[in-house]
Amino acid sequence: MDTRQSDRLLFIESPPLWKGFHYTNCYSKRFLAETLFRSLGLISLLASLYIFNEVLYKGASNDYLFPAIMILLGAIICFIGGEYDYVVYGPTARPIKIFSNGILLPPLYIQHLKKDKGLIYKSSIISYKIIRTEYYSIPDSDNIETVWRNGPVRIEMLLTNGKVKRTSIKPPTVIMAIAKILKEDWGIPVVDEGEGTGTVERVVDGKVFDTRRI
Amino acid sequence: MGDAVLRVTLLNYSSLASYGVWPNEQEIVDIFFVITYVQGNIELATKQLIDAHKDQMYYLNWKYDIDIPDNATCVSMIFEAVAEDAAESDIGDGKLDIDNGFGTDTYNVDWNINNTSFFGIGTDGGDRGAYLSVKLQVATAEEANVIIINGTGDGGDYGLDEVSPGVYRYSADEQAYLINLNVSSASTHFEQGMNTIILPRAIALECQLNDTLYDLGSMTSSNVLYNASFYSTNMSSSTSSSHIVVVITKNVTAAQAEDILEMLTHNTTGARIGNNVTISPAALYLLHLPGDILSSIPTFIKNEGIGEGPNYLDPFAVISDIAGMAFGFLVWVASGGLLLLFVHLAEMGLKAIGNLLLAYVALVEAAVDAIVDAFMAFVDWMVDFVCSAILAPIQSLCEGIWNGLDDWMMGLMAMIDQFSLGVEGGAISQSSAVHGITAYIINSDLVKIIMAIGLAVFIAMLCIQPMISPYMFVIDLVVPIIMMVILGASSAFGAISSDFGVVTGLEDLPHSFLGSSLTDVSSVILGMIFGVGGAFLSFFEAAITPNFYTIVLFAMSIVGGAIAFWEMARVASDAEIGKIDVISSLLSFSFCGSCILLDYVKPDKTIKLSKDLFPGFSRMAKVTTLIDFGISILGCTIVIDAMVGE
Repeated sequence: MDTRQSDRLLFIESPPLWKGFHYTNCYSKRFLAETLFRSLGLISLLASLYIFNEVLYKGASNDYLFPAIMILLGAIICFIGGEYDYVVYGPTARPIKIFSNGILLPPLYIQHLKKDKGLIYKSSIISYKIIRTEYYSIPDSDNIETVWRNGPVRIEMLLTNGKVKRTSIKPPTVIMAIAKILKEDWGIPVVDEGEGTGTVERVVDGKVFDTRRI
Repeated sequence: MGDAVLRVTLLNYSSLASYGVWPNEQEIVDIFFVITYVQGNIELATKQLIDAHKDQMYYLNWKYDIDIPDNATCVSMIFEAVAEDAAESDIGDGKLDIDNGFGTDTYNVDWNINNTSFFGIGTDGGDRGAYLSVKLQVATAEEANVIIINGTGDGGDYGLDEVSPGVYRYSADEQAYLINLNVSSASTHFEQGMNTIILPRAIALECQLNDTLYDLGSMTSSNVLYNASFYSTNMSSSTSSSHIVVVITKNVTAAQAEDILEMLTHNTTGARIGNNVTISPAALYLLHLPGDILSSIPTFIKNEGIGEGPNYLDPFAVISDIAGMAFGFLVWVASGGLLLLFVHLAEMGLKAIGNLLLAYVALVEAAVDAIVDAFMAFVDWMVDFVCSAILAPIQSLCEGIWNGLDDWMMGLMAMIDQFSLGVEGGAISQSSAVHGITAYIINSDLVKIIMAIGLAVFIAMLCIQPMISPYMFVIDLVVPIIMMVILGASSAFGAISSDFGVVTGLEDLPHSFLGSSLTDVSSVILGMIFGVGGAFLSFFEAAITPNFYTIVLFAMSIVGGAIAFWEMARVASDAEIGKIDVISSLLSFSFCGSCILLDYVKPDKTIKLSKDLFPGFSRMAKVTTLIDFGISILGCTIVIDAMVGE
């Protein structure tokens, strides 16, 4: 029976993708980018409002409409940039956790304030589907990367309320680890049109040096 | 392609009589054979059959491949059996009689090539009588295992382009080092037998090999290249190879071959400067290698080893030289007509400088010095070429910018004033005013000219990319020059500097705002042009890497640059400067500065396309982003100075 909050931890997504600043998709970089976007956006919004106020009600020159509009435009761009980064790139850089009673995707916005952080309960999952992609790359350094071909990168979970919950893009090894728990431990039926974690290639400076099928 | 070879198999041999006459009669002699391919004027001496006894049949099965034209229909072969240092001292080596009674002592074969093999026997009786059976067949030679070293750089790799999956095209430095390694056993990167490493000169001069060549004096026998044969350009030769400047050959073990590969792909600090890509023989011709490099790649051939030629016959003084080569066996080259690598290199104007030993320090260093000098001269030429190729078509456009800048700015200011009055008087709405100003900026000729310049540079860079791609380091040298010319720096010092005079609205800036520390009006002019140009170059980056981050950063760059530009134009028109100007300038500075920060924390894969398309362009875009940041700082400084002044 669900306890309506997270129970015993079974799985937590491991590094390297979201740990360490030298990784391009690390959470600290995402946090820095989002903070920068939001801070600048807020300051810009206040500044543009101030200028509009000066122009409209305090007799400042209409010449200032141009910077006011441009700054407002900049504020909008910053907010869009920050929120897009937070919603799309942020969850990719934050770990997925699986508890004995449900799976916890990286919470967004108001989910943080909830007691269960938006935990998807085991009992509410009808089935899940493994989404594969032709190309998925994990950078190891500036010129070395690991490329997965036809590897699983996302899980779509069909819930009892008819909604579909998707994980963010994750490395194939992580997705397969999650899928294993969902299938073997929880007995949830799976739809997988592929096999295993696909083919992995070691690419150095754009050239394939090693290929393995896992 | 010259792949066809004639495979000659020496099957059986027997001495039918003692060699020499009494009292120098010998029943045991060392025997070797000379094989001549008449049409190709090719001749080789085989290894020796030691202590061949009289009347004993020896099963040899020695195989030798001889390069023949692919369209050859017949071959004429001459076989000789030679007794090494026969007892007849006045002759030296002695020729045995295998002429089938024709009186030539040699066994001559004319074979019309067909699908079946030719078997023949040359034999004769008498004092020097012997028996030799041979087999002839046509086979296909296979090129050596080829490894190409391509460079790594900040702008991406260079020297080897993947035109389709698994198919590469060689695009590296025209000049190359060839390292031929006869490897005793297979390893990770090498196959047993002949392996050829093609090392572009630019990488060769940077890798550990160069230090080894320059420090031969301290080379010990433990060095993997110790005693390797070193060939380089023969300065006294009337001909020279267009692409091969050094050939190094050596017999090595698999471990030594891997060590050499490590030496060629890393610099002295251990940093990787090159990648090794193994090319299969089937894909070799798809590389589009220069002809002389391709022709110098040895082929895998069947041979059982060679030896010195008979001292009674050495018409070309070649066979004995070959026996002194580093390889203990015969080396063929892929092109037809020439048999041996040694001969082929000589034909291409290369000569054996010496082995990599202490004794040859001066000679080897002199050869490498010559290569370095030629390389530096080439780099200078390349920089001049790239600059002139790009600058020539845009020079007039740059002048167009300067000629039209003052009119454009005055027009912009007049329009802003007009719309301001209109809005204050209620004649037009604020939205209409903003729309009108925006339309003026977007539709102006100046903006179009700047776009044309950016496009011209972009196209020019793409056009010359195939040529300069092996030399991405050249981009580092030429980009600042190009940027200066595009964005007006050259005009500050060049022929069109007089055009500053037409920018009347900005002439008083140095005295009015900048103070004594910045007295050159060009700083402001350049700042404005840099800002606009940088924004548009950012636009091109966003255009070729259409993803979220490049678009957002481009938009922020536009906003920051536009505000900075507007503020400076405002200062230039002697408008009253207030705290709103300062706020605007600070935000302009913030937008541009944030672009720089965000550019370094953006998620991966956002620059992959641009790196594939043109590595240098991405770097240019980064430079312009920094310049954009600079203009925003400048604008901010001007505005604050102006406010303080008032």
